[in-house]
Amino acid sequence: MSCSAVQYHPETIPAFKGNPIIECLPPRVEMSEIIKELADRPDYSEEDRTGSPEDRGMLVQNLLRLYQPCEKDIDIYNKVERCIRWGYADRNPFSPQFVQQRQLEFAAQNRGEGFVQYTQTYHTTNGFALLGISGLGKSTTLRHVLGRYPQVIRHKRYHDIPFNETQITWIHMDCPEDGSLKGLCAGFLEQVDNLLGTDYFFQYAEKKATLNKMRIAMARIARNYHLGVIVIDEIQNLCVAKDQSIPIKTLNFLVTLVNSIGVPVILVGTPRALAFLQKEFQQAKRACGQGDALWEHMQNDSVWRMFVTAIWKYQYTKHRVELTDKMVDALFEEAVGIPFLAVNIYKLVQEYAIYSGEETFTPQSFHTIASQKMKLTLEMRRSLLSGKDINLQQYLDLTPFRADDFKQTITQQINPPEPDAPVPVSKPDLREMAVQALLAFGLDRPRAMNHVNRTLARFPGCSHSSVLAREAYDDFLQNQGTETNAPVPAKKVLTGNYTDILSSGFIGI
Amino acid sequence: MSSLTCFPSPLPDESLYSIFCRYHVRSCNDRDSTTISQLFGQCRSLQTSILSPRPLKYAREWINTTPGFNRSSLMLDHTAYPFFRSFTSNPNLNFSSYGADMFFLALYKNCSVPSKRLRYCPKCAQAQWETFGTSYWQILPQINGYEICPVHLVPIRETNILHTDIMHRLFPASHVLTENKPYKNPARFDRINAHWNDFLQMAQDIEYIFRLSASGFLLGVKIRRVLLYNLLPVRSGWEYALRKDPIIDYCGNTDQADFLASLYYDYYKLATQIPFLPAFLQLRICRLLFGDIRRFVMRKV
Repeated sequence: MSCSAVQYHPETIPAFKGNPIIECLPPRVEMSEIIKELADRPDYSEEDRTGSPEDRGMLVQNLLRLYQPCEKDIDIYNKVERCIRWGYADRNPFSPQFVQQRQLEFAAQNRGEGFVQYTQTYHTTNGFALLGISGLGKSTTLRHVLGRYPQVIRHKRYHDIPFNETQITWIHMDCPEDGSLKGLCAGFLEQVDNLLGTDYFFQYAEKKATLNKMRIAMARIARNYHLGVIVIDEIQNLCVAKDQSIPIKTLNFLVTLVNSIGVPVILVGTPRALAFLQKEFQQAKRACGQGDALWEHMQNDSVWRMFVTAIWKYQYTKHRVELTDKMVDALFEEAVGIPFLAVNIYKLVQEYAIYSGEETFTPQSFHTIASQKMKLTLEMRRSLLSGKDINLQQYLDLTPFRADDFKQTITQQINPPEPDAPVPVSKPDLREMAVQALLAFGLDRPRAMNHVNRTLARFPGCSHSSVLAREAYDDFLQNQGTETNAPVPAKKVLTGNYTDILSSGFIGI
Repeated sequence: MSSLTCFPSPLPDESLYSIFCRYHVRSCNDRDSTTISQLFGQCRSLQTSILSPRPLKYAREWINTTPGFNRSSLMLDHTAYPFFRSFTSNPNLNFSSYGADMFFLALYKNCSVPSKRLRYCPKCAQAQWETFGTSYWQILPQINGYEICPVHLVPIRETNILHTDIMHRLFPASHVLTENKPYKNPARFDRINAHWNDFLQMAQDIEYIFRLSASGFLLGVKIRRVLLYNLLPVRSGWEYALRKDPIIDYCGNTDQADFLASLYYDYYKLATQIPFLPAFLQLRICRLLFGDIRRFVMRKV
């Protein structure tokens, strides 16, 4: 647990002034300073290259600790800053409304009810989704960004006012493997217990505990301990749930946390998570509340070169190898722009050079080592490099993200397509029900089917069988004279306006 | 547990029991028993009446490690100890039950309708809700004889919560006042309305005595150090007094004469020597002879 003495930094933004849970956060820093603060560069000296192979083999592992932020990391930092501070803006613990919410939620829990109806709506709170293929450093970036904030802050006094509160600025947890909401709540309670030394897991996550009870407990704890942000990693785990309603329930609960308690939620995962994030506008809206954070693998450009330059310094072979364009290209070809793979390949190449006694390496070494020692990822890397569509069933987590798809989902929800938009319709039940309705009007089945199909082609967005049947019947009436070869209805049971007939109770659809 | 993560800061005139209740709300604990065990260890009871400082005897170490709290300040500012302590040199004085104030002036006892329920001023509760975001159990309305709020001039109301219930349960005031209807006792209201002025005077007396004892200030001069020497150790070093110079123990027992007690006795002795007079008449005679208790004390001091 990381606790620290509380220092309050006066805020300049009016919405943040006088709010101790914002003023206790580390002051915002300039962009130029952020890179220095976020970077994690292990110590290195030229003398390290003179050590024994065993020592140098051990020191090469330093590469795994290296963290070099770049532009997109700073973007994440800014997003997190906005999330936390604006999330706190409406939760000033000195405001009577905030304390009243506590009382009302306590009362609701005692009655065994939910809490949503008693809570206000927080408009300024937004989370975001950070999606990208594995190995891009999403979790690492968030860990470094969140590491700037003391995770637990114990307040005692605020400007001579007694203020005995405990604040949890962030919680970073993995989505449960089964994607269940109960597992999510239990994981949350366990995290809080680890941080504060409480026993909420024992109280609420015992076998007989109901899901509703756990949900309310989680929401109450989030409010009472002034939780700044929840980061839920591996959100693609929701896809493995057998029950397809589980991801929606879990995501809906997270949206409730954002809307009702005012706690921003950051979802982190692979593009596989898009399957359900794109389904609902509610989710999509929340996922891009702070702007999209959808990472693709790096391109072989100046950013990649900067990254390779940063890791190149950590060289432990006796003979120093200079960084050349060929080296950069070779590493890119094998790592396909994924930093995690690049670091690992570079590490393995050095290990081989040290233990084999060669004490140097060439661009070819990258190809050789990568093909020999990273066979498991070989096919995926080849696919990514070639830019071909990857077999979705095989490598779901590597599916390149298409930002246009995501934006299209949101755009479609905000501006629904015009009725004549070419939206494919395949609703056999709908079609069959309309056909049945026309049969009741005395049409034979082929003609009924014909008119229903024609109507569906004209109104592909039609979703009600009654509407479809009415339009199909109108179509039949309009084309009655033109259908020269059309057989006479076998038995015309009903005539007249469809709506009147329907309202007379003749046809039940 | 060395300290409690979110023990609330006491509010003005809030009773110790109410602070525990608010802690229960903030702690997010599932059951009352969990909160009680956090506060008092293995004790399954709060060991308390609404007015008593007795729980402080059993409080675990959190009380000294939680910032801004200590036993002494909680006892003097958030229990009715200062009030009851003002009236007696009785060594057997015990605050551990709701009937403890029965020792209190016979006059008040006879005049008021002793209550066994938690009580509140509806206007104060409303003001607390709007100002602090929560209502809480105040000390003064729980004292028998305090039947009218001198600030808002409304009768004190009773809840359905009995004093005996609070030994094992935590009833946050906001929750009780929003979820339950007030206890109906028409006879009590009739009596208050019939003797409105007497009850109002009585409530003002009680409030004055309480403030005087709790603060130790009179006419802007700290007289306690000079005249009320018996109370000095209580204020400055309660635990020290308890162990080294046994003036008082955790239960409020005392074995020394008390200046204030004799003062109040002087005030009421005439009335109590005329036992056959109706209670309210006795009070009126006291006031006729000596003025109200505030003026009497000031004159004596």
